[in-house]
Amino acid sequence: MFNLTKEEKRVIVFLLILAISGVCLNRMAKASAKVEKFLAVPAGLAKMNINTVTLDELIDSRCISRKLAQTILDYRTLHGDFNCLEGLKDIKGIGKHRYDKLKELFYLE
Amino acid sequence: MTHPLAILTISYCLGIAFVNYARVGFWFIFSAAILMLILLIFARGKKHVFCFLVLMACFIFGALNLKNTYFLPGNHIFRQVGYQDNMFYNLKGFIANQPEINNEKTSFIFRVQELQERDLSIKSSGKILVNLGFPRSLAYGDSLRLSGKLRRPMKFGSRGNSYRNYLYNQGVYFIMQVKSPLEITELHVNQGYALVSKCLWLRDRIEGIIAQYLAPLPAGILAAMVLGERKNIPRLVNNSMVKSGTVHILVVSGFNVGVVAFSMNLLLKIIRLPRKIRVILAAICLLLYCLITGASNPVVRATVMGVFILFAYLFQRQPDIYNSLAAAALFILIMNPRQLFDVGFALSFASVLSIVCLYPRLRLLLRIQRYKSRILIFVFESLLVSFSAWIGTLGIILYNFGLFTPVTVLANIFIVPLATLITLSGFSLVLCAALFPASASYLGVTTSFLITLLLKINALVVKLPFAYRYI
Repeated sequence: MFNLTKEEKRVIVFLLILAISGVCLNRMAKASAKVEKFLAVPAGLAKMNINTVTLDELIDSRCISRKLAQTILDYRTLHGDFNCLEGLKDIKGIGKHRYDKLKELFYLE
Repeated sequence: MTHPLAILTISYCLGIAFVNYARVGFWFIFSAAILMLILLIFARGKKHVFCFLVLMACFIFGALNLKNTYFLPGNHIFRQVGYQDNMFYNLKGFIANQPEINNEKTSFIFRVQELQERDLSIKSSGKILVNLGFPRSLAYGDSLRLSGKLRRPMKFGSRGNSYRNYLYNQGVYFIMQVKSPLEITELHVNQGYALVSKCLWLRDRIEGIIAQYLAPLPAGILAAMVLGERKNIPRLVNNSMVKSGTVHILVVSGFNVGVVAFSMNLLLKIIRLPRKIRVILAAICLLLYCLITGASNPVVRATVMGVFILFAYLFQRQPDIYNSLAAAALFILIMNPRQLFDVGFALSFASVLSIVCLYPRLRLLLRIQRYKSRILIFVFESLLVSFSAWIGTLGIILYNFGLFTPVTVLANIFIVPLATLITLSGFSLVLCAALFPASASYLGVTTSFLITLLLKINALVVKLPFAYRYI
């Protein structure tokens, strides 16, 4: 019926696989919260939990200096868990500019 | 000579490297160039002498070209502004790239045309980096008048690769900090190239499509893979991919250019266009894609190589990968010889060269074809490609970043095929969203799932013992 070349057939099959997989995944995510959670990117991959992160994890991330990491953790030990990320601004040495950068690194659960 | 262009390019690069490290005057090199040209005319009949002189001429051309970039025109801003005099300057000019808004701040490259100092207004030239301390909707080519302090870039960075050198290599000599919206006036004239403006408009549209169908993080990853736009990639993800040696998938490279060429060829084939027209149109699309993605080094390399291969196909000649690669390097280095010292340039060419040279030899050495299973052959081949690229870039990464990543070879076996799938589905998503928006959301779900999988595998691989080590 269709006069398709080999490449055209491959492209059509590929697009169909993508679309059908999309429909299936969509259906599964709607049906089960576990699947929905599995399909979503975990928050921990792109950000660190400010109330549970360890010194090693902070240093290993290569996003902040050792000194700043230690200061943040010292503040957390002294004042308890953070209630909001804005609390970082209360730490000595963290101004608006640094806070703007830090808020991209952390999340609060 | 089997790879004449490759040898000429090596000679040209040696000329650039020589002048960078040796203190030789421009006019001395110029005299040598004249002498070389006279000798070339006399040596036309002598084959070997002529070849040697051509190589020497290329060497001198490289040296001369680099030396020439050190001389700035009399009206260049670098010559007009004193070193850290802390004065306010009024500048008129236009935006030379796509402005980026990040963290409530805007930054762009500004091409200066006029400099105003007190009541004196003088013609000026050159590029500066402008940082606005507030978000502002601006576009490439917008004509502006700016006021602010000019300062030279800081010299921080490791092992000779300072931020200042990086900016100097891009032709940027000053940074201007504009703090208040009152210090910027839009002149409502667009002075950019119309073609570039259209390409950047298309880039914005594609970014919009990606953001519409995917969550912010997967959208950021896909925008990097399809458009080379890395501003929305979280630092944690970026650093994690650096550690696993898979960060190369977050830039537009030869693979993406190949996908564009293949897709265009296929689309044009479906509408039954003759081969010659198809090849020419595919080459034009590659050039447009290069502009859309910001014409970074890997894209220019891949575009020049792609155009070379397409034209070899058009004229029914056997394409030579070494000559194509050399043509790409020569093209970039003639435009800006300082790129030879750019880490991105070195990584881009070293990885391709290493794959081209090393992979076929390793494949022969290990006699992969003896295996019966196609899956096993595929796994071994992927392993060897990854290993070749890793070996080729190992020295550069160790020297510049002090990072040793043994996990790269293993990580790439999983990540590269997945990245290939993501790129293909990303392109399909953009095309579908433009042609059949109703079906695009399903493609978006699959693409998002593949990106999540990629991030999870990467996070897992980085956690392996001895995965990476900073030296």
